[in-house]
Amino acid sequence: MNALQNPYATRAGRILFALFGGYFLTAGYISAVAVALSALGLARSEAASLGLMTGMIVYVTIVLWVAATPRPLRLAAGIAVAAIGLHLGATLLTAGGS
Amino acid sequence: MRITREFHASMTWLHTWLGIALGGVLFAVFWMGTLTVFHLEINRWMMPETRVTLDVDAPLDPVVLPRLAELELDSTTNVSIARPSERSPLVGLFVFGGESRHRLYLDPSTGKEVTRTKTFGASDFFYPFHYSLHISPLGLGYWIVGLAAVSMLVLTITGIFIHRKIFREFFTFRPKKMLRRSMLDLHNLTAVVALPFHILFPLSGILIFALLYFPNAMTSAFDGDREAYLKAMTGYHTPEASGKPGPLPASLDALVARAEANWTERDGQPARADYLRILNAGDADAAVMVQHAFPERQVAMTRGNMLFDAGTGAVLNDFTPLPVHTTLSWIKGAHFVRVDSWALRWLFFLGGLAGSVMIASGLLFWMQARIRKFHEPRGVRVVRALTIGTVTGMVFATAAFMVANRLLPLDAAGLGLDRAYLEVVVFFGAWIVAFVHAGVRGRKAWREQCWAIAAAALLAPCLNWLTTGDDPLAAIGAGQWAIASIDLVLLLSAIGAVLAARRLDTAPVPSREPRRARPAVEPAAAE
Repeated sequence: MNALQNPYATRAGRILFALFGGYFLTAGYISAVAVALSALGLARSEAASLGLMTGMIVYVTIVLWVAATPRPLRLAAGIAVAAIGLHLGATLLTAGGS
Repeated sequence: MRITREFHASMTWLHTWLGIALGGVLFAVFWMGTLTVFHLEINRWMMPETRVTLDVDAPLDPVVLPRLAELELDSTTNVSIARPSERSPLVGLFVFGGESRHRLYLDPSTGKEVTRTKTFGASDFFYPFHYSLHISPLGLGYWIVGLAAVSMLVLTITGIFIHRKIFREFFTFRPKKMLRRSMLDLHNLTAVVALPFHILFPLSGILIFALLYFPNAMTSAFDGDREAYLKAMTGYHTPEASGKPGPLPASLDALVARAEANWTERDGQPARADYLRILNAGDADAAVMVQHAFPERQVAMTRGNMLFDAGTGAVLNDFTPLPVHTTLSWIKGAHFVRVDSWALRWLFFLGGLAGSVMIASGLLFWMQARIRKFHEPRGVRVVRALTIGTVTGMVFATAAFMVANRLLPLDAAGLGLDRAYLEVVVFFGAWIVAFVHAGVRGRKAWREQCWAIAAAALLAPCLNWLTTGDDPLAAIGAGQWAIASIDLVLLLSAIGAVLAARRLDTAPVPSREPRRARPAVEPAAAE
């Protein structure tokens, strides 16, 4: 059995990606929500609070999804793209707004 | 979304892997967190000089201002004042920054300094253990606890997916069955009974340290302006110091009264300020921050924060959280449970205990299941020793810590450490001994450590009675219900530990015969 078929390796890989990739995406989500809602007129402390609270739901969902999906590599790619997109979007919105 | 077998299987291995990887950390966090519910009461137990009922509403000015006048204050000195309360009867006066550094506890009526027993107590040992494991380099402890918190959320939800018969599991506990079966029953029972806690606590724990874990909430919405972030989210704001010396505020009580009137009018219920800060204390532009951090009759925390100019009394900032932020404050406040309700505190204490038992029984179940499946697999000695050391070892170390608090002389010092650190040495020493004992004694270590916990938990209140004279009847007579309760909880813990030890003594041992040869096992378990 090669490394890619070893269930211990694949599970460990899924967990590590879920926890760290999920963290990266959640951070991007929080930034994006905070910046987007502020740009729409919501008070900054409100936007940040809403981003943080809902971000926890996002994080846990990502972890469960990565563990359960039958197509982990496809999902991982999707998460990476989404995370980078969210971070970039938040940065651009901040730069554009100021 | 259908719950397919594959989905169920993935939830199962995720639950198992996270549970094994972080179960030890989670037990430590839950155990120390449970103790922290009553950290102020445990402080009084460990510092008998504070077992007093004092006039906590006495004016602050005659107590604090003369002390501050004696000190050298400059433009960078900050003074922090903790108002006394029923649970914490002394005025706390902390001076830091600049030239001075002081930590004083004062009688609120007379202003005299009270010399407390040198100990970290629950507030400075159990409490920080809970959120940072006392691992400070690079804040690593905070991150490990944060990881454990996220995992706890995942563990709870995967647990719900795995064990579908939630209602039935409320009523299933078969203590006389094989240890593996009764451990699983106990794990399910404690999980299901306190399910809302198991979701609320890790969630609120992460949100409490949100600025540490997700600084991008600040960098994005506030353009990296930490000051603006803190001012918007907490009301904290340190004004610019002028550099010129200036006098102390004329009256702190007047400012407190104005702040409380403001909050009482806003909330429609009586408000009592709990913390004060004098910022840039020796400066002409000094400011006084009056905080309403833990309202007495609301779960939400940080309900108010007013900043006054120390000289003129003008209001520089009046912070009230907005609605969404109030929700966040509610979630965080639920974790701190500083609301003035003994019922809620005991409920959360029991919830924490349930969580601790859930984690310990989960680890035990997994260990027994592996032993049964693989018949003493490689490494089981190590896993068992680690599990025993983490669970019963930590509980034993806690009891030893409290025993040491009563045994060490007030002026104890040694190994270059003062008394407070010596107590901590006893804690970690007892914990290490527990690990070694578990490694050497194998299976028997469970019940032996339960007996050790029973002995220590019995010794602690006896030493309390001997060294302070506060047996439960005397304590209640003096109005010290906290002390009597702690002694009674210790005695109950001793009884519980004895029952656990005896149960472990009589636990049916998993058979070592090959599985084929064994007759059908536990027909009742097949339901």
